[in-house]
Amino acid sequence: MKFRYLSILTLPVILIAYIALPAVPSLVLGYELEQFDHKSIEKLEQQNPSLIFLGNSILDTRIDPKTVSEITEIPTQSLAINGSAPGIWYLQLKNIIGQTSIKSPVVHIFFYDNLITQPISTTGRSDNNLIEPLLVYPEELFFSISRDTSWKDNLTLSIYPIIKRREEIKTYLNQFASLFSSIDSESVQFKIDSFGKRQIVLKPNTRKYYPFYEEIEKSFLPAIIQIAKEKKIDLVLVKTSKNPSVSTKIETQNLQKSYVENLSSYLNSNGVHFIDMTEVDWIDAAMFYDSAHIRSRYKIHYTELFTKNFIKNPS
Amino acid sequence: MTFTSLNYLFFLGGVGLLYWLLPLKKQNILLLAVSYYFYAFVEIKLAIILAIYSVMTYLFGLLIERDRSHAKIYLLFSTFGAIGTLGYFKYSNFFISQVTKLISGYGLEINLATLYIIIPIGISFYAFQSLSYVIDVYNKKTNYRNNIIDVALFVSFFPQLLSGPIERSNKLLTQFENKRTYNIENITSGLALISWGFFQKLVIADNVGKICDSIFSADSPGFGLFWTGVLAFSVQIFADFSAYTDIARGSSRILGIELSKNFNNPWLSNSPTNFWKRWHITLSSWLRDYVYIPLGGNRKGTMIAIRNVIIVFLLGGIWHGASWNFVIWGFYHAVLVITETFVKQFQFVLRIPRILKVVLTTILFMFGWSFFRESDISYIVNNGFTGSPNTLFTLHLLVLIFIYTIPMFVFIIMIKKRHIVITRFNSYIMVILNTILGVICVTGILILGTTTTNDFIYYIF
Repeated sequence: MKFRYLSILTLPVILIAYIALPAVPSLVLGYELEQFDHKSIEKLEQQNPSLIFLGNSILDTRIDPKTVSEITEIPTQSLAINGSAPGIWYLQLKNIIGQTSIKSPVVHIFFYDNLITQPISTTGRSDNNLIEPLLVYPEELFFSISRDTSWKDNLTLSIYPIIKRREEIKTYLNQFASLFSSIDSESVQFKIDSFGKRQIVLKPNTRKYYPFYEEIEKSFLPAIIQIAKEKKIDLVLVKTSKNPSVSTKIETQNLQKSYVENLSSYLNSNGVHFIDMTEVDWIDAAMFYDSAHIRSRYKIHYTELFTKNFIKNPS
Repeated sequence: MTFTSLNYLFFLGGVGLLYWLLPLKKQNILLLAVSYYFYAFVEIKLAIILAIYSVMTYLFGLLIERDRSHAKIYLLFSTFGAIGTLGYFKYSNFFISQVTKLISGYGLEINLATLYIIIPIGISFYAFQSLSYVIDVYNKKTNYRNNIIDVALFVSFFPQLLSGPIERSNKLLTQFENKRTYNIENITSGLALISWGFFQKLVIADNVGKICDSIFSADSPGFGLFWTGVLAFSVQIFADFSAYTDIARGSSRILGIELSKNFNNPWLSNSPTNFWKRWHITLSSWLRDYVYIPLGGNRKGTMIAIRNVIIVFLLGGIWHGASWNFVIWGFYHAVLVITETFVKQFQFVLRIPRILKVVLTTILFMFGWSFFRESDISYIVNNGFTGSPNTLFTLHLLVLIFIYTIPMFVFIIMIKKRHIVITRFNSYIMVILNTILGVICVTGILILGTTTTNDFIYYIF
């Protein structure tokens, strides 16, 4: 009986140990917020592009800025960040493009499905390494819209800030492996991508669509449009097409249609050019390696067709 | 609610707290209610199928016991019901696609629509578990249970509902019927097991899985990288499945219920038969007891034994999924086991050093994992034996896989030496040691865990 009472009292001590002791490495190693990357402004200023592309891997697998430059004879740059979402595009527009002296650049934002009206900064789990170099504090508007992290995530991050250094710690492991292979640890992912992507088995589209005007109020899109107006940026939104082989239920198709109609009229009323590529006939299933990404061998082909159809002949 | 989420820990904590405050009968009612709550998180409609399985298991057990003269008919109904439902959900679309291919092969146009079927998660596990109860009642290996709550809980107990271990009534149902006592040593060892499970999933399986996925997403990686990918997959699938089992066993232990071990260091297997005694033990023993032995086992001559081995392994293969690669995987393992029974008759086999046998078994099983990971056989043929070895890049990834695998080897050594610790120290020292182990795992997860986690691989089976 004595043991039982003792053991009941022991339990809270054990639970506290489970919560408190793993926080020790955070105290030792610590974590400092990454500072805003001023070099990215200088770099863009030097490149002085008139055409700029924003987006994530959807853009990165589709558009080759050099090819666009060659066809249009307009200096072009892509600021694609894999895994980025509207929050990051808003920060790039406000804190990088908007801070350069480039005169009235045309900025194309590539997105898929209803991502443009999602109040998020990254498509996966929140990644501080992507967001922090773009922040100029206090960024009140950004933090008021962003729904990247839940209260549970925020609590965990504040107790164990070492989580934010995970990727940095993993690069040490990569560097250790480099001692044996003499392969530059930063080029590992690039090396894998160089073997080309194969087509995977597709899953049906189960994405949820909420009423457009409910989504728009909570999203970054109004702020993106506002910044573009203030900074005299010519904004173009490009809704990319999905792999035509992805099966989508009729109800979802109808929701998608009404979403695109509402988005189109909203952008028109705000003076933003909208390119809807969902029905474009030169895109076929063979070009995709999954439901949304284009295989690398089709990148130049896609870029050429996009440039000739939508940039040289924007009508 | 996935096992590796904070939500699950809050859920388990809440259930555990309430559970130990209740008397035995109410404990079981609570467990049944929270098991359905847990399952409804996946898909509320699918909980109906689970409920039907539970009621049917109870009813057929009752009917067999009360009406022994017609017991065989009830057993047949029960078996066809359980296997038929499993077959409908898991294999309908595979069957439709194969029929369409076969007919179009004769030049006939046919357009059979595939069905929009959501496979109830865990059905392969709870279908086998419920069937084992009915068969055991029929064979008088277990008593029929009059308490529907206990039987329903046996079918739907939340820690092992989604991916096993596949339990037997004599072990699990008996524990539900008996009084459980609160024990701090069990609680801490349960917490340590859960932490180790989280570590295996979030640090080992998910990080190595990323390497594996990158390689298998490549169009033509060449044979060096291809086999590195297969090695990565063999580490990933073990860490992933073992993680699930350990979280299930740890959660259950906190509630005073002991689940079966599903793994016994499969990396140390020195033959195919030995591997199947160490890997997914509860499925292997289910197939042995309910398929292999009733078919005659090895008692009816060599040819019948070979047939039985092939049937068992084909069944084991198709149990994993409706796809030809699983059939090939099952057949491959049948061939390995049959070959072993012939080869081990030669004296020289006995003289082979154990370490060499372990390496050979690992290589043979790695080859088998390629069929498990990859459904496109032409991809295996084109990349497994041709193309560039990419020596340096392969070496780079092998070093990374090795780094992530080190904790698994440390754990194997710890488990091997565990009995020394247990016999030497008293309960309170064990409580402290378990807590230290758990804290180390949690710290490791915070430092090296993946930001995004995938579902457990065995969820889809």
